[in-house]
Amino acid sequence: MKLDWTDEETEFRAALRASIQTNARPGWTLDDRDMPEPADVEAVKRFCAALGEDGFLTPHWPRAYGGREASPWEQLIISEETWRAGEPRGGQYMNTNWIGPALMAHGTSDQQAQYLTPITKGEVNWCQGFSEPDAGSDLAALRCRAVRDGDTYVVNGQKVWTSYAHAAEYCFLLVRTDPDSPKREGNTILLVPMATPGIEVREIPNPYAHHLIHEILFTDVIVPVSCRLGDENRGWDIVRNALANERVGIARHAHSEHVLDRTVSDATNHGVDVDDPSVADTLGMAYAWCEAARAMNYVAVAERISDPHGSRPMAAVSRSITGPMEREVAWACQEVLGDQALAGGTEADRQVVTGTTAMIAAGAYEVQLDLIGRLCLDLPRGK
Amino acid sequence: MDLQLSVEQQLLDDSLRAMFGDHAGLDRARAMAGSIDRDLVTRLDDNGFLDVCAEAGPIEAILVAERASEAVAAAPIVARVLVGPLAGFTDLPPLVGLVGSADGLVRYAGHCDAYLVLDGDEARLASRDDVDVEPVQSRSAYPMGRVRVRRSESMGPGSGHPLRRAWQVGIAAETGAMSLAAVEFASRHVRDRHQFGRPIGSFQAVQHRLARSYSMAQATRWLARRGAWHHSDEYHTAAAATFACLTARETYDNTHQVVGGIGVTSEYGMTEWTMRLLALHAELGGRRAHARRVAQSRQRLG
Ligand SMILES: Cc1cc2nc3c(=O)[nH]c(=O)nc-3n(C[C@H](O)[C@H](O)[C@H](O)COP(=O)(O)OP(=O)(O)OC[C@H]3O[C@@H](n4cnc5c(N)ncnc54)[C@H](O)[C@@H]3O)c2cc1C
Repeated sequence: MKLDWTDEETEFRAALRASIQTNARPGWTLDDRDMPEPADVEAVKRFCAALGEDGFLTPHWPRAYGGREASPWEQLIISEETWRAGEPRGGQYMNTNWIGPALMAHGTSDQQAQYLTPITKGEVNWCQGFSEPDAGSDLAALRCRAVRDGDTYVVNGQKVWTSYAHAAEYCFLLVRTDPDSPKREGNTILLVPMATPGIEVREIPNPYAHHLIHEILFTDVIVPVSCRLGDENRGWDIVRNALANERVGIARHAHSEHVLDRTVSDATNHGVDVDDPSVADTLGMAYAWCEAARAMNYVAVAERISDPHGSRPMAAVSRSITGPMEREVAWACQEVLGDQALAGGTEADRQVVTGTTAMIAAGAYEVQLDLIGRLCLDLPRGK
Repeated sequence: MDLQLSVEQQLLDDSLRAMFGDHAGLDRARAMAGSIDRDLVTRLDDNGFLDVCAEAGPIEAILVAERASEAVAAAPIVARVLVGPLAGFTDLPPLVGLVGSADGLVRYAGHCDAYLVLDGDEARLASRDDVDVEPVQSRSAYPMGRVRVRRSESMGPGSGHPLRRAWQVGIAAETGAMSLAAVEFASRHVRDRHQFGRPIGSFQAVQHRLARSYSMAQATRWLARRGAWHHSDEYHTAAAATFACLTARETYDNTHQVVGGIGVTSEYGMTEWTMRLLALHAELGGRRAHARRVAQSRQRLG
């Protein structure tokens, strides 16, 4: 056990940080990650292209696909440094973390040729079309239908809460192809160009952020069979794997820590005595939560290295610390800044968004606790 | 970064588990009530386990601390194996106590050969002959007392900081391991205990309490390991102790709640862990004192 970064890892981080500094749009924040304006979409693409040029977009990918098989620790460092900078990759972290790998594992050579290179060049945004109005935590209850018609599928239905849908060129879409089979069977993945006629994206209004969430309506959308990923009715396994990759090593702690640092300086500017014992107590607790989230994030990465095909209980443990950490940090900022926290545009204000959504998006907190009960504590299933 | 135990560390951990399995544990802890397990400490000493920090490193020392704590070993092993060496003390006798303030309560007071004393910015060493001990009755499962130091040797100006940091790591190591053991104990209970025609562990309300404690205990364990590795970094050590206090409280509340009435009896045994968690939660000023140090050290870093 060595709880230090190696010299190579430290150099990697420094070079990456310099690249982010050079290439990210000045003043980038987590709000911009949702790409509310067309200029933000372009900024994300420019940034990812530059990151790719510098070798920091997909270094963990296999050599055959343009990577250099960098370690999962380097992948984590990328996540730490990009989150710290407000994630200037926008939604493209999905491309590199799990959409690309899913294409490598299940795609045809034509699909790989078509989709992977644009990802490595940062040219493309994808969105994840899984959740539906009646299929959230119980994702297997999805109903969005794809009916085979010769060499095409005809898709009808609705996806909801979709991030980045307004900016995406493609949707990684989970559809039901066999409504009569059991819930986890009969589902298929389609790689759907968002420009296809019959697709309508609507922003869902909310008081948190512009273009945070969307719904996608599919009306008689014709998708060629060549856009299917993997076998028909075998989509669930792909999704399960994709979600496992999606949920490990997202370094939210790096951003939250930065939010606390900024809040301390904002508070000082507003005359708050941050050395006051009760203020320091609140801040110290929140920082301790960030460190706890960091520690378990690292454990989850180590588990991924040592047991890549196992049930990965530490991934659930990590997420069950990270979600509450976001909330603790959000409330700490509110407490420390008082009414000043309500002024838009501060990190404290933005933290309300992630503090609210982190325990819901990408799988509810309670589902993680269920997993821990089963995988770590051997507790019996409920009725 | 490498979080796996090396082959040697794994072997050490296996032998520690076997030793504490044979010579410590719940029954032994109950038998030792209010006393100190000298036999166990002698055995550890004879096997060279008390000096692993100097001979192998902080991770090895923390492995001893973890195994001793989960097995509710009735002796101040963590102070001797981890805290003293990390704070720079060498040639310590087998039984050492930790004194945080002039009138603070000290675990195993009156049973130790020497005391490491945190005196403001200074660390001091006092032998048993140089202190007066006033025993204090406590439900905390430790023999407690106030230690008044008459004579002591200073470790030099500034030496208090390493001692406090090492102590914070010790608190976290003990809390993480004890919390994991308490959660495991409570999990066994809820698997076996039936109400409403089903194991109470099948109720999600029960599962989630234990799962939450388990996660926090895991985080505390890893914060303690990181704290031991980076023991000269106050941000790490204070964060570990702060989170340990949160975990101690969460585990205390959740394990008692799900075990129900039997959990509060001496006979059942769970209080061997929870009462110790209560003491750890309070040591060195408790959660607020640690949290303030986190905030202060972060500002210094900034
Ligand atoms: C900001 C944001 C972005 C998102 N982005 C995407 C995206 O890009 N693509 C996509 O497909 N989806 C996305 N989602 C959807 C997300 O995956 C779902 O919100 C999540 O899976 C929960 O589903 P739900 O909202 O339908 O809540 P429900 O399933 O209705 O659950 C509501 C609440 O009930 C409780 N609950 C649910 N199940 C259980 C259980 N088994 N035991 C105990 N309690 C339970 C939990 O407290 C949960 O929060 C996003 C969501 C948010 C908030």
